[in-house]
Amino acid sequence: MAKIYLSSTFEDLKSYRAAVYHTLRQMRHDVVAMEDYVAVDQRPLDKCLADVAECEVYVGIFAHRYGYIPPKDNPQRKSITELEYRKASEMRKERLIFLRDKDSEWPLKFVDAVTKQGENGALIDALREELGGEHCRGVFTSPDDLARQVSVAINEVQQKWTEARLARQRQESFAGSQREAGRAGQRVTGQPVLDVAGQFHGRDAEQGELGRLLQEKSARIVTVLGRAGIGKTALASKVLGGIEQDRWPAATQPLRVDGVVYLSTRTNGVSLERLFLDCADLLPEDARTQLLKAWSSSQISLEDKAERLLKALDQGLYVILLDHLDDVLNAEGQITEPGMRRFLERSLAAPRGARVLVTSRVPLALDAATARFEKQLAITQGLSTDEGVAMLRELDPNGRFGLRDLPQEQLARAVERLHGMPRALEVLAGIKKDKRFRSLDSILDGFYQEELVDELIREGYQRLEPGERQIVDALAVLGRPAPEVAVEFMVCPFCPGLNVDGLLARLTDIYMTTYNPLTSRFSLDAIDQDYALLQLPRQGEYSRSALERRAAEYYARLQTPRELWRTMADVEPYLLEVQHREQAEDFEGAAQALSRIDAGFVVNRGNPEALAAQYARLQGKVRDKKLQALLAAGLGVTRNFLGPLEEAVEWLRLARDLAREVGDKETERQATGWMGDACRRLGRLEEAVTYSREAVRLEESLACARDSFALLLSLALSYRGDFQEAIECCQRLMQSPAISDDLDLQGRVHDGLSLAYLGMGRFQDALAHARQAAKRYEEISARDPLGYVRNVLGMAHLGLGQLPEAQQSFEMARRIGQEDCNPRVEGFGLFNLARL
Amino acid sequence: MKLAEAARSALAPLGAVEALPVSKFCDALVALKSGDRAAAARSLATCGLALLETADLFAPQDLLREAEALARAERLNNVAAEARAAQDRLLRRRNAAPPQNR
Repeated sequence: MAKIYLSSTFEDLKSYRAAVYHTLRQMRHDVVAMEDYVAVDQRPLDKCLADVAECEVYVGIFAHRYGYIPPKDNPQRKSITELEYRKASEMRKERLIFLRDKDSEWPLKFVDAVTKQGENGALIDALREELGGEHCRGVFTSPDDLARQVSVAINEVQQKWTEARLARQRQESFAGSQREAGRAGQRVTGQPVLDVAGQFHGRDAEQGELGRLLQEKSARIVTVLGRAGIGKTALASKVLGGIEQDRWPAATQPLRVDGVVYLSTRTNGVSLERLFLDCADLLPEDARTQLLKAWSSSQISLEDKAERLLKALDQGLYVILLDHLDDVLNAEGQITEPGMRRFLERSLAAPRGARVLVTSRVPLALDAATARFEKQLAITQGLSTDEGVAMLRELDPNGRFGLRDLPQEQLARAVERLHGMPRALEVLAGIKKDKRFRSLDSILDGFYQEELVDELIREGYQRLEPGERQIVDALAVLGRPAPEVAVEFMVCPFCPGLNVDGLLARLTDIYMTTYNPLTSRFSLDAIDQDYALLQLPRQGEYSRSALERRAAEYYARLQTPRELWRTMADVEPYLLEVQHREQAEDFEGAAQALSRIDAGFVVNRGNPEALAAQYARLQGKVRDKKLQALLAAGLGVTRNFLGPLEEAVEWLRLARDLAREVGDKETERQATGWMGDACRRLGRLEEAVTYSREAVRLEESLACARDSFALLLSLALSYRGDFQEAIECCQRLMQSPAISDDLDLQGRVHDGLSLAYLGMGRFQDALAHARQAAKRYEEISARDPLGYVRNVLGMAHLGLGQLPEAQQSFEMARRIGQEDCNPRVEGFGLFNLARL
Repeated sequence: MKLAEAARSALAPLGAVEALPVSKFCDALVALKSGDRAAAARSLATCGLALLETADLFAPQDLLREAEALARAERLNNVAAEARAAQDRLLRRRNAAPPQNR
């Protein structure tokens, strides 16, 4: 909603003002106009200018009258209408100017040049001339024409604002990612799922039982079970909120907890990756760094990663909430994400470690051996009558809904009819707000009694105004707490000019949405989210599919360029775009978005397994061969890091062939180059050299400056024993203009040279280049290549018979490999040490 | 021995080219310890040959020499010839200049 000042002369433009005023009000904007205080040309100047100063948008309508010139405090003798415009300009307001078409008919009595009102004729002509410039949004001929043009212009302004706010949000997310890169020693991480402070009602016995179970030594996982809307998440949030403050539920001994992690499928998702990143932030800096390195290692199995996570959490008492876990369970009750499944299995088997608190509608499927470490708390009943009555009264703290002061028995009857279901009571309170003078019984009588709770949830949604419903739909499709700008962006094409902030305020007021002031995000109860999604038509102009596409576009706007990525938080908008496009069955779009994700970055910092799964999920669903090639290349690159290497080669070969078929030289180059690298790692050196050579040839034809496969070619040549050619390859790169200010490239060239000289037995040269490479890698903190080059240094020393120096270098390589969870480097160091 | 075993544990799960020579090196050490010189010769020869396929593990000249000597002593002519050929190949590869010190 915008605050709009409507400026014009009065008598001549009455019907025009009325049309604009009416349209803007219909669009639910706050319109300030002279009609609000005195509908005449001679209005108070001070008041007018103060109103202009307070508005966000100035709409100026000009015909052929200059307007009233106040005699006092007006040394320049300008009309109020012109002064209003000058004020808006001075204050840099958004100005939308509309001029009456000078060629269309207009009553002569309203033309100053004809009626000879002093100099007014000349003044209005001069002003019109000036206004015809950059801020002029249109020329109008009739009231309806004007109203339509103003409405379009206001929508454009709103879109511009939305874009600006999206840019701000993008910056905030980026700043958040930067902060995330340096967090350690937190006590609470993740996104709390519900802010229940002061709103939670009763359930004392369940709180006590949950606290007791979380303290029970034999319980590794505590599952809160119950139907939708019964308050599982609220109960978990209430208990964990207390534990954060060292306040345990009554009847349990206070126990110091070192950290609490909140994960929910309805906020940031439940995955091993999320768990790793959030748990790492609970640990001291050193332990955090170690854990993040373990996570980012492409050479450690998921099982080992899960093990390391548990070990890291072994030194303290940590509680991890996995909320709405049923969203990621399959029909058999097993977690679909392999990483999380392994973590939970390990967690159950471990003698110590974190306590996991799960909320779910259905039980987890666990085998008999581990099931005994799970404790369940089933919530089968709603709130007690007294608790429900207290809740209803608290939902109307000021008595505005007519609930607070109702007699106890009326409230008690409603609570019993709704079986004390907290969400149903909230919906009832929301309905009562609009039907203040109807009794609770008469409201509830209007529904099918056998399924009263479900009916009420349905009514909670169905009774909403179209605009309100669209906002609920937007939040449901976004599927996670979202800021206002996200909702605004979502609804904009379907309902331009919708007063989103006003409607969100009302929806929060009637308990349809929840606002978290700490995160400035709005969210829906899961039960309402599910219901809203079911109501949306699958296809059509306004449909689930259209909204999913819009959500994808929203996340596309939040994406930051690759060179600014620091953590996986920077990749998240890309992944969410892919997810929403997939939901919309826009597989081509999903593949396109996926191809923009740098697989190498995810391999080093995130969950390459999940990325590989995403590539695989889209295989066969994309018709465009160029996209098919990109998907196959992505899968091949992730497999090159994760193994099996043979599979990597096959995917990369497919990518290369498809890319060739459609003439996509860049994808062909990438696929061919990585295929060479995979072959080198496999020891298929003839193929490695052939493919690498081919990639370099393509590189030359494309004039690529970066990502040179020439270095990988030099490695393949050295592996094959063609040392002279490997050296020539590096020397060519040494002469490239790009190398002068690129320490990484310089390091890699020296690295390649050292390996080639080593193979030739020219150990002094190998030593010199390895030292140069190590120096550069150290300068840019490139630990991974530094490990390899330390190993080469050791071999050069060994070749020169300098055994202590060799031992020292191999030890360093081994240590880097071990610390960075790179078993390849660690293994090289160990083997070469064994050769001493 | 401990170092070699640790290297095998680190490299074996990766399925890369380096896994074979490291594994054979361990086998050779076990065979030598148990006095099975023929097995040691075979393992060292395989290890040396496989090391020719990677540049990140130290060149196998010494290993091949030892494999050849062991094989000759055990009258394993094929193994000895294989080890000899591998040494020649290694020398041919270093065609640019002779080794400086070693």
